[in-house]
Amino acid sequence: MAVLERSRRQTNIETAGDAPATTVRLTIARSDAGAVREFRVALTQPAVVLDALLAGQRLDPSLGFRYSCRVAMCGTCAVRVNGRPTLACQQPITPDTDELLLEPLAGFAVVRDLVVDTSPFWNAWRRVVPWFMPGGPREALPAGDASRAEVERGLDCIACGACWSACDVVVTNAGYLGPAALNRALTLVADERDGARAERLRVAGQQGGVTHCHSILGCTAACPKGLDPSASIRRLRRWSLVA
Amino acid sequence: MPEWPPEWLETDIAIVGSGGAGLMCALHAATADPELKITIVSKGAVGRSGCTRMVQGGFNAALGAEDSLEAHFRDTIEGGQYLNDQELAWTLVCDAPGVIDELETRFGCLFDRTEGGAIDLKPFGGQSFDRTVHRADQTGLEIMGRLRDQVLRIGAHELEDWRALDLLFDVHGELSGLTVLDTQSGHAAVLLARAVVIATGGSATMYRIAAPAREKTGDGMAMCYRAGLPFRDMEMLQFHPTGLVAGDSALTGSVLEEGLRGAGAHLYNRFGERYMERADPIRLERSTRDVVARASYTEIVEGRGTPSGGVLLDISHLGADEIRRRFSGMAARTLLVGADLTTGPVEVSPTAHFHMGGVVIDQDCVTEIDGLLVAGEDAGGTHGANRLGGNGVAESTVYGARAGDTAAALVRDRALYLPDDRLVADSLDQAYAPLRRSTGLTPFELTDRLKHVMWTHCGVVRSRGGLLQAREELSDLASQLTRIAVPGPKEANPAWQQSLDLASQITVARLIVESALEREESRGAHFRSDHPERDDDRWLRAVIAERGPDGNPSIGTRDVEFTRLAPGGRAVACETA
Amino acid sequence: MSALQTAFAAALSVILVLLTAFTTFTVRSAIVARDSAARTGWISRIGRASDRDTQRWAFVAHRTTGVAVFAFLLLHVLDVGLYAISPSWFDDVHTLYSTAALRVFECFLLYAILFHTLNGLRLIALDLVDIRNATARHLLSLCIVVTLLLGTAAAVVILWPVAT
Ligand SMILES: Cc1cc2nc3c(=O)[nH]c(=O)nc-3n(C[C@H](O)[C@H](O)[C@H](O)COP(=O)(O)OP(=O)(O)OC[C@H]3O[C@@H](n4cnc5c(N)ncnc54)[C@H](O)[C@@H]3O)c2cc1C
Ligand code: FES
Repeated sequence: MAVLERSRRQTNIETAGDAPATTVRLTIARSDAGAVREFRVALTQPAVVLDALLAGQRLDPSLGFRYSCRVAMCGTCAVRVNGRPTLACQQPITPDTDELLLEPLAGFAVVRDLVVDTSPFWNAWRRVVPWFMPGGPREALPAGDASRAEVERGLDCIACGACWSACDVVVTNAGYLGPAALNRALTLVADERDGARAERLRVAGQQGGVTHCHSILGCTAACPKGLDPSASIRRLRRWSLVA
Repeated sequence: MPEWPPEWLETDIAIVGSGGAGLMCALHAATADPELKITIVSKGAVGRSGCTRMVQGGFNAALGAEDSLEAHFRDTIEGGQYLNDQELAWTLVCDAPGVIDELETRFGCLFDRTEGGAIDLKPFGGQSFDRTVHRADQTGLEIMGRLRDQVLRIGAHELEDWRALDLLFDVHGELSGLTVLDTQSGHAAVLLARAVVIATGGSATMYRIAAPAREKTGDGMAMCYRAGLPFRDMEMLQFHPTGLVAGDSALTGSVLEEGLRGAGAHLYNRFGERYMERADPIRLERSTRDVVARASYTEIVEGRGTPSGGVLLDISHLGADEIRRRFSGMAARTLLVGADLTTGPVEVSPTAHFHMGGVVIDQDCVTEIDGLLVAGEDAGGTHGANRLGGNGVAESTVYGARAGDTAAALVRDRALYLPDDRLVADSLDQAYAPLRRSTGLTPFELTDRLKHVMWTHCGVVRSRGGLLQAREELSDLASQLTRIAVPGPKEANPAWQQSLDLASQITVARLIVESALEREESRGAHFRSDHPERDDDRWLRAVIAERGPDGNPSIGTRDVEFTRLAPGGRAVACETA
Repeated sequence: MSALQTAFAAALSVILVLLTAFTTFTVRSAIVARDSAARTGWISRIGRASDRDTQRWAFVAHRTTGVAVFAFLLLHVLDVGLYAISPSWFDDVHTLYSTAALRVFECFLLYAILFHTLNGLRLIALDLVDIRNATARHLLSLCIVVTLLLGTAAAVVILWPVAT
């Protein structure tokens, strides 16, 4: 099988220093028949998986992958690195790395190469009624407030889909809402400014909801933002039992 | 390869871009008239592309007890060195508190509050009062997350991962919509619309070291330019002083937040000299963005920078625990690139950040073309020569909301016009051309060259000689565009998309270079080494650029109107608009 | 072997075959779903902290041990129920339990019961108290260690008569 190589340093940053280059062998899951799967790229330190992809793209411009922000904010660069879902822009490639296997996220249909169709994720997200609805018992939550603390625990999700890819229930049970959507539901259910608590608890408690979680904690282990969706689900489970 | 005829779609309002401006626009239009058909065209993921999402610092609004609209306005104008369109700036400060309220009470944003329950306001550079609303250091994430979910509520039609190509007009020149391209499937379509709102977030990406998200390649500006709209202040491009230097890594250019300097970080060159003592002996590192960026840049180009082209930012004297507590995100970011903010200096460089210049609009986002509105970073004038931290996301949400209101009213009596077939054919031919050519250049080398040219000749410090050279290089690059060939299929092919990005970037780069040549003084973000002084006698004028009859930029100037505040601080009128 | 003993052995074999099939299916879907690194025999270099995955394998183990215990329980209800019909039938079938093969089977059953019980308690604890991911992982290690210790101790007792 052909291996494309890139040893010359020709990215858009010209560094005067002579940082040593690490040569990494990439195996990339490609979807086009006959597309090259093996790349050998030379990377200078520091490097992240996204740099390896960009270097691979110089060798084969048709390589398909996504990214936008480079700083763990947009959530579009998620791929599986050596089988584990993670953000390409945040996964460092250490100097002693010599091989990497890059694959698209699991649990989604592949559009091309590393690009996947995330619509199942968003359909689930939509089902939990993810938008804030005014009308709750309180107007504002001051610092140190208990309700605020509950909500904040679940904020800052970037909807990258890593948890979806890591969830063993989602891949076998198409109706399951999945960790991210339920985590979003939690941030609203816990929010005393919100007026639709009952409805969301109903959605979370019914078929496809919190009862399907097996506490595998794959989502929590995978979350690149350090959130704990599994804990959110367990909280929702308690609340929906009481409700 | 373009399928012919392309798919035809129809809508009342077509919104191009799904950052703060685009989504606020959709929500406001839907509130004004829930029956409206709204289509959001977004090159990246809806609500997850662009820079509003990346805002860390926060959102300026005069909410403090002692603060006032006048004070916010004065800070904005002084920050902008009197180049601002004062009506736009005044509208910004007047609307900002209302938008914060709307974001909180209608859309659910959870901004930080004090124990007493008031919105927590943090200090930011160049402001006379603490007025920056935030949610920890993830403000943009909170705002965009909530707006995105509200957009699910209104059920707007989303063309996610579709890029806008060109504006379309009928044979009499009436705006009829735009051509759009699905970057995932590679299919094109004609989107007919009664009103089009451009909110693609401008472009500061054509620099070697740059901070913005990758979609922001000036597509909206280039579309408006080709349609003949005038631009102002295009030379005003802000460099953030502390962009991360991470060698060849794509992380280079990402921003280390301003708060570090505010908290007492020092800047050193490679000889350990604290060069801000020379550049601004009074404010030192806490000086404004333009001054610090220029000082660092000078150190670097004069050979006093580090071997990899940076200077050193050191805040370790605060102590590791304190740094980890206050700047955990920043500490993590430096760890990722093998440095450590908590224990020693980190390499930084100025990084291209924000474009103050843009399309000329009025307070309702109206342009010279009937049916075409522009909002957010694509528009110019609000910030003058320099933007205050925290006024950017305020601008995108305030003006996005206004664009939505205007559009909803506008489409009530604006018809749909059928586009001129020739325009459709030209637009699609151009878009598919790189894919059809079998041999030629890849877009990567040309993009590298563009970024290099802009960085060296039209960056933090400019001169006539350099700018003339940049002009040459850019026209050469523009001529190479027709030689780009991209292998691979039309589905999800980033190299093809990059070749389309490049065309827009070059168009906008030319506007920047031509405007920078025109302004023979130094003001705000624009510094000319051959005209290093601010010249209020000659240059309280906006540089206006538009497409000339030969297709090249034609440059003129226009007096700035001091409708509310004249230089020297004399208030002309400050009544509520 | 009597007809009853044959029937019992056959039923047990069917259970074992079904269980093997079920285990193969669960493990395979777990691998295919996510860990293609394992599928390709690929040794992970990056996430060397592969204990991040232990809880996911615990899920697979919990399911298969659950099915195993349940299936055996069904059979066991039947063979014990024989006593109601005829105590001699009961004795007949139950002599099988002292054979070496069934003793080995019992050892595995014991491991399965121990793991399923302890892990089940861990999951209940997880549901009741807010336990962090790392703690949950440590608890899992504890479950495994206790399973192995108790199981092995009991295995010695069970196998002793046939081993000596
Ligand atoms: C790293 C960073 C930090 C910042 N921090 C702050 C801060 O703390 N405070 C502050 O006030 N401001 C800050 N800003 C500035 C602020 O983010 C911007 O001023 C503002 O967000 C611009 O909003 P927008 O809606 O105009 O564009 P964006 O939010 O950038 O959105 C642009 C949208 O246009 C889409 N698009 C682009 N091209 C096309 C096309 N051809 N077709 C269809 N869609 C297209 C993109 O996909 C994207 O959705 C920061 C900017 C950056 C880069
Ligand atoms: S590129 Fe945005 S999260 Fe990685």
